[in-house]
Amino acid sequence: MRILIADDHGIVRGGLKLLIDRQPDMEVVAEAEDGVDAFEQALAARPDLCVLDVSMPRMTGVQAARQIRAHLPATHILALSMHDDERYVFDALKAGMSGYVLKREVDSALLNAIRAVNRGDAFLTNAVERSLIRDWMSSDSDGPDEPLSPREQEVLKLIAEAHTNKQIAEILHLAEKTVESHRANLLRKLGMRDRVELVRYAIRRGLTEA
Amino acid sequence: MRRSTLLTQVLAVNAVLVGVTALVAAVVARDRLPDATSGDGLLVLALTVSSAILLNSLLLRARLEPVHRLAKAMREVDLSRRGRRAEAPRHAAREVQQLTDAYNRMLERLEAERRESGRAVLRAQEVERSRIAQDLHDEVNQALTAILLRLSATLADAPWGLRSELQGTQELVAQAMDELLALARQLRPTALDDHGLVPALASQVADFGRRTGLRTSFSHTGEIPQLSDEEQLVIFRVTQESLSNIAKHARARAVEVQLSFVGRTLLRVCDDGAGFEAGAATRVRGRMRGRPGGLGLNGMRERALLVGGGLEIRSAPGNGTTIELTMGAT
Repeated sequence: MRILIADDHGIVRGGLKLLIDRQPDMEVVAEAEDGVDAFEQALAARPDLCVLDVSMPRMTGVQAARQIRAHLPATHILALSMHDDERYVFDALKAGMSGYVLKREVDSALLNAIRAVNRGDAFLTNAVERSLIRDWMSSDSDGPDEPLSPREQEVLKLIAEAHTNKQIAEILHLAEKTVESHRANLLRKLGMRDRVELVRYAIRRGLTEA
Repeated sequence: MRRSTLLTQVLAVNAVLVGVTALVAAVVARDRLPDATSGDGLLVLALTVSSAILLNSLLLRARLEPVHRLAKAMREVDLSRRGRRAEAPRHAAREVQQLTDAYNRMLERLEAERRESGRAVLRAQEVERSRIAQDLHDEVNQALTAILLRLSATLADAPWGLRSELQGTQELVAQAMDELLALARQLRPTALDDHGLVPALASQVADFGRRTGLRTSFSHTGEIPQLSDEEQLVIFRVTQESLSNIAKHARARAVEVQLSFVGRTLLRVCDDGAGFEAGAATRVRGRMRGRPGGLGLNGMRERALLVGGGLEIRSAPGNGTTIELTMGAT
């Protein structure tokens, strides 16, 4: 099984590689340190499975997953996260990730999750399921609504991280004009005036870290 | 040495003046009115002089009364109860009025400065807390994640005898991560940014119930007004501190948290625990002040003050404690 791992913390990547490479049926074929890197490496290495940290700079794990699924439909993706907040779980599953493992459970759950997801099954640990159910029961909504398209979310994250339109166009392989119109759409859809408000929104939505 | 009062000083001077004047007048008048220095004459003179001094004393006392009152107001001023001002009576002398005005202006400046520096301290504290939370989250917990992964990798090759020990270590690491996450969450109420005040409070109360096993309830009434970030944070922190006090001291079975936006903003946290005597509150306050991470009753009151609110604590032994935070008209 050929695996790509992505996490913005080198020590975590080191640990993942150590554990995964010890398994006779698994091999780490690519390492990435952010979402954009993960997407590009995935295109180049065509792994069977990607393990993506949910919170990463430039492009979150969730956003990278959406891109990877769009270009490599056969690749399975597993989310790795510090957060048991149900919002992250929803977003991950909606983006086409088929498993969600909390970092505090990696020791017991990671290998099982990788095998399950590689078989094409879904995988949630007990802790994640509990938090999902708890939230479902206490809230009156059936999952949060998302006003933005996936592409707009990608642009929003990069705006929040202080990239210029030109840089954003390069990272996402878009024309600069398109980025400008996305930016205008974002402001209009969210009813916001400036970048500061967009940044605040992006942080609140977990698209970028404060 | 005990200083003599302004009143006695003025009286003494006046008495000397009146006495000397009377005496001189008597001596000068002796040639024409021989009776003046006789026994009766001296008696009348003495009576006149003393009644003049008495009258003088009464009048002076009345005139000096506003000064005394101002001094008393200054002595008793308590900056944690804002908005109190000294008042000069209408008939007071201009100097007294000026003194009072100057004092009130000084009080205003003091209060404003105190408010500003209090705000700055709180803001700095929140920034620092969120930085620490971020570090715990991003650095320490990632390192612990790596440790968990490495232990798992080692576990496969470890001899049987070591396995259970390694597994025990993994459990400890996972526990440490849980505690760090909980700590980070306490330090920085991300729920407040992510979901807004009411859901954040609801989940805080529910979490508290799960953690302590106490029966908890949370309710809110009224339309949520536009609250500033600072006001929301005060409500959140006062709830947090009240709950943590209950867990530590109250020996309660049930806790009720109510938030009402009818007319004004009111947060009420009641427990059915041991309570304390009203007089003991200062002792409790003293003990809680130095607690790291906590706000203490004093800290809660200060926070309330900074957003123009008030904090009231009602308690009696055996009757639980109620903490009420009120903030302006909504």
